[in-house]
Amino acid sequence: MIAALCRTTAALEEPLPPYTAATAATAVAMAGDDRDPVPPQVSGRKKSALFTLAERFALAAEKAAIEDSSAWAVAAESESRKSLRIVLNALAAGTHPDAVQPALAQAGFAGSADPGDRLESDMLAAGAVEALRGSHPYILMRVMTARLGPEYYEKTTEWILERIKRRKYVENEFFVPGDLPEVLARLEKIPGKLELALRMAGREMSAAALCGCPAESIVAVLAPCGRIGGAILEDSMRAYRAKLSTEEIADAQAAFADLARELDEPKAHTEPVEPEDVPDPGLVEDLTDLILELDPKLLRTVALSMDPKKLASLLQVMAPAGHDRMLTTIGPMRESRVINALDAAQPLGSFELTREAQVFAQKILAAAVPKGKTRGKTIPLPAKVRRLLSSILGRE
Amino acid sequence: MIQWNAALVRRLSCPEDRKAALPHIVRTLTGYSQKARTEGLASLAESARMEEDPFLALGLELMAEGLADETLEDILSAYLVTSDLRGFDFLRACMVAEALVSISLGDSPALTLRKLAAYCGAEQAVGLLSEFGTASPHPAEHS
Repeated sequence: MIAALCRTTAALEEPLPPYTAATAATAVAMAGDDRDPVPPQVSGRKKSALFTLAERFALAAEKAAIEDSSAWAVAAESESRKSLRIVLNALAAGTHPDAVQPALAQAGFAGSADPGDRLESDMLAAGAVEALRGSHPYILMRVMTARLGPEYYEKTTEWILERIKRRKYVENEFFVPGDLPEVLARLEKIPGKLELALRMAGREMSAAALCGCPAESIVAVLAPCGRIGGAILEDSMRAYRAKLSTEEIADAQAAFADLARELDEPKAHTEPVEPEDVPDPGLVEDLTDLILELDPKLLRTVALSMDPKKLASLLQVMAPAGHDRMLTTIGPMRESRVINALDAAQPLGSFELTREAQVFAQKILAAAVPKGKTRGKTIPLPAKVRRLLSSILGRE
Repeated sequence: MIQWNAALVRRLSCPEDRKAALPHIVRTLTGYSQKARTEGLASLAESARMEEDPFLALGLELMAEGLADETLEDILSAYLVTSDLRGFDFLRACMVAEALVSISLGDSPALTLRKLAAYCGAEQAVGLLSEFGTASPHPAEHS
């Protein structure tokens, strides 16, 4: 991890070897390999203008989330700043995240000698990647303005809280019968458990399950999420309430309840304890089956949206048949990056491997929900895939 | 493939005598890991209000917002790159980011401790691991 940096501080003249660190690696990747990572001198005035640009981007994202993706094109038409117009048009066209930065480079922003232009390009590209992941507009704003420095943290918080204040919703409780409210009530009594269940399920699955719960259950769930986290989850719930069928919500509730029960009654499913650094064979089997069963287009979409390092970690919890399909799916160019990342990676422990598999399962679930889907249609996932997803997500 | 940048490494460089303070930082951050495990991430929002280190306070608040670990890592990394911190302060901020991402990933306090102890150099790392026990750290302070 970053500690490797400390140990090699003496060897400043030599480039450091590839390394699987999380935070520092991202920081270095942001700084680039031929630039001084000391923040470039960008004037306060320019940063202030970029904050306003980020606001416009986040507002367009808010509109696209409430209406549909055509809002990106509408926002692009009225946008006067060329860089943002390029990004909004890219989002309207459903461009792949990797293609946003080249588009900005072609227009002279990315790679510019001017630090202000580079910062503008980096900020917008980061926002575009989040938008293409379907992140909430408040998260977009956080990610973009982080590039402006810690001094913009408070201003961003104020902006988000102001947007929360302005939200106007007609309360529309939608109750789907099931035992999830009882499961939630039990979890609520154990400190940290409800929140752990929400994190393990991921925001998308949590929102899909909770949108069919009675108001009192939702109030209890939102309480530990804080004002901003709660607002984000609430928005996701409202969106799912509008686009999921009762059957889909019931499916999501069943999956969430299974996962929550695992946390509530872990002893009930006690199995022989595996050595910490050996992957759980059941998990390897489930994940491999999932990879083999998934629709090729869905698998490709999710795999291409993942960082090669994350894919390399995922390969550690998969049988060879799964490797073959995954590597074939992502294509030869990305395959070599994943193989390189795998070579450089340390073997993960069973807990990390489980988490990697669960994050992947969450991404599959999120990608499987078609945009603008109307009620009465089911999530296009076969029963076997749904069972495998539940099994993976239900592990502790 | 990520390439290391010597200038970034240079920012981490700090005198040996300052590094004597690192174990204390590890204890504090491991305490937060323990607190998150037993009381939930929401409890960290309360801690953020009392935290004197602005970078740690900011990170704890972001965690309490329920950001996904990848997003939290991206934001904290951006703050690290754009901050004008250097030397010990930058090293400390890197450790804070490392700890927060580790907690967000759901790592056990023992794993968070292992990740942080390595910052202190081999000798102090061994001391820290012995102090906590490698399996289950129960920091007496800060929890």
